[in-house]
Amino acid sequence: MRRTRILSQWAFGLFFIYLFMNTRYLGADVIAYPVNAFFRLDPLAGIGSILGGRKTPLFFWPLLILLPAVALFGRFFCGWICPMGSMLDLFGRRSRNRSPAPEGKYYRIKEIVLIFLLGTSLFSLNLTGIVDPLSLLIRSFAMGVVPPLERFISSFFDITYRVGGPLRAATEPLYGWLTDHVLSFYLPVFRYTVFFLGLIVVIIALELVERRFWCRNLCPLGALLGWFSWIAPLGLKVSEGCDACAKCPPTCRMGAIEYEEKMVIRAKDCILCYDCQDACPDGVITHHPGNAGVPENASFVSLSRRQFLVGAGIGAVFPLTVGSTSRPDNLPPYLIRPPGAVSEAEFLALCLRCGECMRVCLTNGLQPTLFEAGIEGMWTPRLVSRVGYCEYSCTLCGQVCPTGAIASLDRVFKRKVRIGTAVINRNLCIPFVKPEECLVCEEHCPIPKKAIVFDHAAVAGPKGPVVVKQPRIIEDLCIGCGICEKKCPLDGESAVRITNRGEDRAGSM
Amino acid sequence: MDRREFMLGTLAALALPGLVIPVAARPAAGNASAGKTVLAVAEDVDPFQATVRAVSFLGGMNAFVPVGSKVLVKPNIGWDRRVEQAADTHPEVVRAVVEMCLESGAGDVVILDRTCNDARRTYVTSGIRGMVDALASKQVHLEYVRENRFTVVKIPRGAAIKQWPIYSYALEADVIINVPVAKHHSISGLTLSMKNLMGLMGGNRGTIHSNIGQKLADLSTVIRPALNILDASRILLRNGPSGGRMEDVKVLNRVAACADPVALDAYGATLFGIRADRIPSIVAGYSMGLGEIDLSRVKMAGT
Repeated sequence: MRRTRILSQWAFGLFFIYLFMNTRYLGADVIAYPVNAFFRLDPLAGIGSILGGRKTPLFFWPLLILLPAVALFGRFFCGWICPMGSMLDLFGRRSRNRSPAPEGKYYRIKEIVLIFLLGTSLFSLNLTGIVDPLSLLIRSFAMGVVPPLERFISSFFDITYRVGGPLRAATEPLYGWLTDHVLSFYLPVFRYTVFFLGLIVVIIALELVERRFWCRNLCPLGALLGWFSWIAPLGLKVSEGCDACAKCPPTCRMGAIEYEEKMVIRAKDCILCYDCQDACPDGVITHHPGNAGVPENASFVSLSRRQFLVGAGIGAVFPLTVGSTSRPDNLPPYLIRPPGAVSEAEFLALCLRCGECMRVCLTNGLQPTLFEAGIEGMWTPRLVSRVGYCEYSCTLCGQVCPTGAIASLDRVFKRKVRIGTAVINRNLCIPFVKPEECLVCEEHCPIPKKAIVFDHAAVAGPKGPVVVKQPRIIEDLCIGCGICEKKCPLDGESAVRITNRGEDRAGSM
Repeated sequence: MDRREFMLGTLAALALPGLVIPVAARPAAGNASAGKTVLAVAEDVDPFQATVRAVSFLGGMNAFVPVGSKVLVKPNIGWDRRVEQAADTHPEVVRAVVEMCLESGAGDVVILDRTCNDARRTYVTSGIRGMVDALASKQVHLEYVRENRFTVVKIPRGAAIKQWPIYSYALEADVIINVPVAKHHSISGLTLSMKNLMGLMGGNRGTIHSNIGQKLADLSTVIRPALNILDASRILLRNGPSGGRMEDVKVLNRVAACADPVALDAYGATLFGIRADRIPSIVAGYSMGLGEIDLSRVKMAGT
């Protein structure tokens, strides 16, 4: 069984990476298969969006199979499927610290986090994705790992290209293959990369403290699955005949085995890795039915009632204290949400902050917020047009959003969705401040009838008045795609900026 | 002499053919002397056939592409628009060019453009990707422009730009074949062959728009296509260069070819009913001796 488990971990891990790599434009307007499939198996994300969004997205139907299975067999998701767990096993394999100690110092943290998250979700603020392992992985890979890695690789080929000659000839095929199949089309640029990278490095480094430190102590998804598998009648158990030789506890990466006259496996913590079964000289660790996996002192929730209530209470109060940005009249003016984004309040209730949309964005324009959307909007996507505009006929972000925070739009419809309105700053715009032509914004405007037009104006030139063309926004036509802001040739701040004035938001609460 | 004086001089010269052309406006060099420049125009509902015939009037592709040469084909693939929207060069025109190059014995044919919309999308939507894939030739490469592959080039004769980053392959290729589509542009007046070379420029191209005519002419002194082929199978009359409205598109079923970019652009302007001397790049190109502005001094071939 142990070998099968490792095989499963590799299979799901590689599948996860495959889907991640294919979360991009591959030559067709529609991504052929659901690259966000892992979220369908994520009960934390599912419950967060269902509680927060007050609707039942059909997207999460596989949970109807997964959750009963977890209730019967235990947390096999963590041991067999979760790519975060597999990654930690990969790095933690050589960790000398096997720490057989059952329930260590920090194991309650994950339940406190979970309780808090459920509290906020109940009050329409879905923060689950910030710490959900799948969401955290995608976000960290997309924004923390990939950008520096690709910068490293491309800087190597920059050198070979500069050196030229045989070195360039030798490296060209490899570079060509990498650019075609592995590397991003443009070097990805994301805000807060250091933070996202640091976070995942810390999570891996915690393996030095305890094996599966994240899963034991911090992971709210693990805590949730632990609740579901509290009894796990078909879970892994120590049956009659155990002579308490104590050979199994050191093999347990979760510290789930404790001594109670004989060895007892706490179903809540067991992730069915089967290492203990291999270690058992008597072969008494099996799946026999019954609920012998529940130690006598165990409780459904490891927290005290007070801890539970305080955690849930803080979670419930938190959304009430923040909520400021969800009012349309209090939105920061330059907060541009992706096309198809639902109303701000609903958006905060649904968005996982998983980074799928930011990963898939053609132009790299979707960037994570820190506090620009309020503390409650942390890591949600916003279009930063100076980095990348919203491509007129592209609908990828809506296609990959797992929760419907960004609706999946038809291409023809999407071209009419207004995410904001362009505003020209005449203190910066070249034909307003200099006797020179520009009109790059008008040239790039994708609206067939042009949402940017121009007026002929006589301005003072070195030898008297000169007639130049000055751009003007037709607000009724502008959809706020931001290509004008992106392509404005001025260094630094663009002379045309997108504000969220007049934005169309799908649905409403 | 400044531009205004020059243009007045040029207009005077055009108004009085056969009389004295102002000395400074006389072409300094090039192939523009009377009678030598041949401009071929072919009309056919099939853009492929039109292209083949236009080139055949110039003596065929053999005259431009030596055996074993590295060829750069530079269509306009700037916009995420469909073929019929006339914002990009017709893929059948490009296919004809590529196939003629191969028949002439070209070693490698590279097709590329530094696009305005996302290059992956423009290559697909314009039909160029599908065309190249269908050719399935190992000698034909549809290449994405990489930002690290530009080399800063000095422009010794440049009046408005003295240096600019140019795509390396444009400097390495033995032959450049420039394949623009004819369309409206609010600053340059029209996008024709000289404007199309902007797709080989790196850096902040947006700054080109000030004094664009001179800058395009400056650019044309360092990037010298052996042949320019103007796709006027359908032209964009308004709301260019990206277009998008079918009512702005006019079907002409015409393809023109000429080694001289100035003459070809001067011809292109007539398709829009615009006088060549109203397009700054054509005037600047003529004054720098890059070609002939006066179509009466160009030998017209074809239908």
